Amino acid sequence: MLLKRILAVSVAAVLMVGCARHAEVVNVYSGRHYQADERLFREFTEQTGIRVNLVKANSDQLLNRLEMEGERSPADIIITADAGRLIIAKEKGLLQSIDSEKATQLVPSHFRDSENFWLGFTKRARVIIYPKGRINPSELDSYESLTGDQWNGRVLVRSSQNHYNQTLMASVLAAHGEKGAENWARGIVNNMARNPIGNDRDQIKGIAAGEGDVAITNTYYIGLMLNSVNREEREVASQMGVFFPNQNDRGTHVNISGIGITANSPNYKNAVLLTEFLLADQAQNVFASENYEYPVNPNVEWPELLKSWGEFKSDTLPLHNLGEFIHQAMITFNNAGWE
Amino acid sequence: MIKKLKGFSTPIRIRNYFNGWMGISLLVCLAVAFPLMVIFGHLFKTGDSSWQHITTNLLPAYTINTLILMGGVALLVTLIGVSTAWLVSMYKFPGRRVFQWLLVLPIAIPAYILGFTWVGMLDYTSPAYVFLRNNFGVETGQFLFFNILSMPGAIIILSLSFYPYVYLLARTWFMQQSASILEAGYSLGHKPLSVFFRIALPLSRPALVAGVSLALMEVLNDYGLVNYFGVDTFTTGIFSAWFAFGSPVSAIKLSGYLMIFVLILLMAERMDRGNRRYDSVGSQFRPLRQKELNRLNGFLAMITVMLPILLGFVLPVSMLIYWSIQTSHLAFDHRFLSLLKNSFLLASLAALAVISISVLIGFTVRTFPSRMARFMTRFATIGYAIPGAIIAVGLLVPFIWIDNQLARITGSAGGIIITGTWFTLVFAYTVRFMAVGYNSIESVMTKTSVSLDEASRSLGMSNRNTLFKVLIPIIHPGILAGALLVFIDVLKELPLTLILRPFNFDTLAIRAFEFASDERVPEAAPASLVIIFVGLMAVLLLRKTLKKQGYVHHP
Amino acid sequence: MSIILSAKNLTKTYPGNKYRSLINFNLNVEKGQITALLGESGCGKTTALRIIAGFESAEKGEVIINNRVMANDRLFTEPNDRGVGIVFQDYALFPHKTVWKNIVFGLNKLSKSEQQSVAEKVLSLTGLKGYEQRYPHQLSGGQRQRVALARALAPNPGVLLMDEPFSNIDSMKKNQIREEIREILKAAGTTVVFVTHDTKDVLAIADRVAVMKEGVLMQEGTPKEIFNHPANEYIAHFFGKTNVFQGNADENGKVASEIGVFNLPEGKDFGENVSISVRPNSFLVHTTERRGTVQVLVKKRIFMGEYTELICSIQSGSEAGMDLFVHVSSDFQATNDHLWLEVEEKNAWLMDLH
Repeated sequence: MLLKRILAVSVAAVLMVGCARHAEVVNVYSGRHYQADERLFREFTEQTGIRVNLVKANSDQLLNRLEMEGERSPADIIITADAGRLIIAKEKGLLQSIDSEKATQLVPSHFRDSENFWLGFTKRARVIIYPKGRINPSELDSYESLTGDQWNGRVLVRSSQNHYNQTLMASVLAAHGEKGAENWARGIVNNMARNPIGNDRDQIKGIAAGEGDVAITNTYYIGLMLNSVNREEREVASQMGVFFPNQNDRGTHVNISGIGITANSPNYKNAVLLTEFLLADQAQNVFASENYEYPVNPNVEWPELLKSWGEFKSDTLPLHNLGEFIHQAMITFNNAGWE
Repeated sequence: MIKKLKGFSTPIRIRNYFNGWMGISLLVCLAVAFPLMVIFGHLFKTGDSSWQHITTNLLPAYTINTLILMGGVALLVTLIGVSTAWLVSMYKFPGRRVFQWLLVLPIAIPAYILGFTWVGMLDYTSPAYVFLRNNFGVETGQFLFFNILSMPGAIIILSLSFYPYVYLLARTWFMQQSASILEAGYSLGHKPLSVFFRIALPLSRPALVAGVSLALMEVLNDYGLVNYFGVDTFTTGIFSAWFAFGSPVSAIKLSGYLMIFVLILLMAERMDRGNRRYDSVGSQFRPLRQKELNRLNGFLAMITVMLPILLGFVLPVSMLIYWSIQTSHLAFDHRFLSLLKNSFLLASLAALAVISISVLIGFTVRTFPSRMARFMTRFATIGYAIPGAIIAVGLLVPFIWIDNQLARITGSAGGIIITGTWFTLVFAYTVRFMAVGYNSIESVMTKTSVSLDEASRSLGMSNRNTLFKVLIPIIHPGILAGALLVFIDVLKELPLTLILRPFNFDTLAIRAFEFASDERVPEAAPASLVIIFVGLMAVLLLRKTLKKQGYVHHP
Repeated sequence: MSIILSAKNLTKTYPGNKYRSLINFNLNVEKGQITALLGESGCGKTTALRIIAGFESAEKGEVIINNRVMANDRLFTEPNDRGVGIVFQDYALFPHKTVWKNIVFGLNKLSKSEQQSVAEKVLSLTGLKGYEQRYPHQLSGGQRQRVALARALAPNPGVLLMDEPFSNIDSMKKNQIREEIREILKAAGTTVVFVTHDTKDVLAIADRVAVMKEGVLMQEGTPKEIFNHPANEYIAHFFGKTNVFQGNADENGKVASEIGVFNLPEGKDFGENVSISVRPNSFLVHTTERRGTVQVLVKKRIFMGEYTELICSIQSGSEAGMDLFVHVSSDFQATNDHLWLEVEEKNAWLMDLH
């Protein structure tokens, strides 16, 4: 009978669980879900004999799970694709200091926690994308300049639910205070070409379709589109220019993917080794060439694509200082009516 | 002939208020409902500062959006589901036999994949738009025809995705109606359309309500699609509270309100239904005979039935196949087989768990009906409306507690024993999908005369033997149908799997999601296709099962 | 004769109902007898049956079968331990089992060979030989009923309960099937209680009948007793057509009415107002005026085959305007539309007003 067969298989499946214990492991909760990451983890295992156990999920949920599991959590490392989440994790006491000179010295100080509770390992710049030929980059200046009347009905940007926008807002709050940030958000809302819909790619396609003229997106997506399997998408991306805003003042907002070691890490030593591995040249090269992210390790040479967008000045405000603004970001968005 | 003498008697008070069946069912219900009760318990926690902000600034608009979305989807799934079910049940037209099964297919496609796919089919760089633009100069903004990333777009996609629930139940229902009821309508001078609206539609209400409420609960727990489509719903509010305001407490509290809302909705329907009955009482059963349609009407019927199949299945799947061919070199690596195995095993286990519990509870309620038992089952089945991510939180509370106790007893210092195992996942799916399994079991049980159980009892069988020797053999097609629905649902499930899975554990749905959430929809296509393919196998099995369901008890 | 089944003071209120479905119900059934519970739907007859079977529990009262207490306020015996057989209204044949499997279903405590011989026996008793391997859906309605009967009889139950046994049978075949069933039951020597709303069922097969209304057992006796001597107007009407006149009793036990003066039976006292029931075939019909008759006008003649039904209305007096049913032989010829009706003392049944 079918039921019996299912029962037998299920018992076997339950028994399978809990087997296969490795001598040396490091357990990772990751909010990133790239295949490149997993390949690097396998590489790490080959080099060190330490097995990497991985759970990938939404970073907020992972933090929540970590918090609930408390001191018995199996997790050693938490990885997120957004600095804001790591700041919150530190506030909640979920992390501990990463005690590795080798790792920390590779990360510029404004891309890591002041006490090294977390380290950034890749960077993404939130830039202004414009159609080459249709817009002259000299018309562009800063995030703030997009609130000017000349951009009325021309700005494309996604919803405030998005983490990248929230961290961007935190940096604007740091620069201009609550009042100023709210005015900036209002200005952007006024100039929006349409309600914020879709993802970063949709903003870029919106330019191609003529729905708007500039889009606030991450450089990373242009990289993805230029390497898309869809010829038309590559075509669209190739027509776009990348403009790094605020070069004349605080610099372009940059977010990081970061790594932290959990407060109760059962395999601390291995966690440190993995952290060092991710910051070393080999891994940094992979992030840059396959994921189109900027490496934090200054010794690593950029691939051609990143070079083609040019050098830029990034916001020098230490990311860990955004902590005090991250909670205000959503409220300011709401007050300004940014959906 | 034999003389039966021996037997035993139980004290009557105990029989009336408590027995083994009720005890075990109650325990199971409590276990399943526990995560929900954790969520419920948060209602009484005081909200933090973000709670204040969310409830005053966001919720009013989000709630209105949710109601619009629900209304739109309810209307559209009813329209599509009932009209197609009516056409294939009542009329003969070319392809009817094939269409009546094709109509179920969209159920195999996860809603968020359908959404991503349709956006990919209509957006600026889609083959269709590129073709029309380059050859005919069609320019309709970023999307072909209309802005699909909108409320109407979300309503259409969600309806295409969920109408099969209504269709399936309505069709089975129509098939079970005695022809005489409808003929009575015709003989009283009503035109076919009027018979449809005045007899068939009201008569199919239990099926309709069951189908629409499944669809609406799916709508309520959806986050991926509405988020991408930029429609801020109550569920967006829940996740906004959590992810943007960093307040899980507010998120769970909001989910508690969502639960109350769903409970009230379900209860209201029950009360309104009251004592009305919808099965044909005492009438001699005569199966429907399909009427031949003339050529024009047959053609129109065919178009009507083909439209949802085309939009909900054929076109999106073709697109997915096109993308899969483009990206096959990336997708089919050595781990693909293990994804398939994980998905399949997990879905089978969950189906088994849900169905066993549903049969147990269903039989208990049937044999020892009481108000409390009915309330317990209602409560244990509302998990379907709660976003998976929130159920995960409610579930982690008791599981981590148990883990801590286990660790204390065994004196082990390290780690978590049951959290993050297959067991956790299967339990979570049970909480989430009880409604799917239980509703199928309940409906097939109500269709089966209680006198069969009583006959067995009077012939000397215990309740347990009655269940296994009489009831289960009779309703097994319904049991299998319920199991397959759960199987398909688990196959598509995402948020629970994401957060509760063991280390190094991936499923097809996760693989598809990871690409899609990275805005790499074509790369997500192969995994999506395999989900759909496995789902299709289940649908085929479902078809065989439903065919057998003609084999039910008619007096 | 020994009493096999005894129900004492059964009272039942279903949860959520305001009224009681069964009130102080008492019934004794002797061995080998066929007893009918008769009444309109909702009168409590099915409730009584279900309490006896053990599918419901009474809040008060006692059920005794074969001198064993099956249920009272302290004990409850599960239906599977009561030794009670049941034939359901919808027959409840197991659709996934053949006729043979249905019949041996209740014999699982017997050895294979015993099962064989018992099943053979009931099959031949019910005339189902040759149908063993059929499935229920391959049988006619009457055959299904006989399978249900055979299945219930096979374990040799102390009491056989039947719920509306003839309601699903074509009216053309009803008489024949009633006869068949009665023969099977009598041949098996089974004690039977069945529930029905049709007096024809009762008259055809019951040895005794209990008439119920609104949860109360109103009268119990042989069908003949109840037909001839209904306890009240309700029962009188229930058992076929009748004409009910109003009478006034005086202190001497004389009851005066439009249709004549009658003596109250010994020991009966219904108070001042008495109902008098006269069956349509019990009138003496005169074509000329006589003393002690009531004059009626014939409004309608209906030819019924063996007899003709006249619908007449009373022209004057306290019952003026009342319609009467009068049955006369089919060759009755009346010259005009006026008739005078008379009732002999033995054909007038005096009873309680309600």
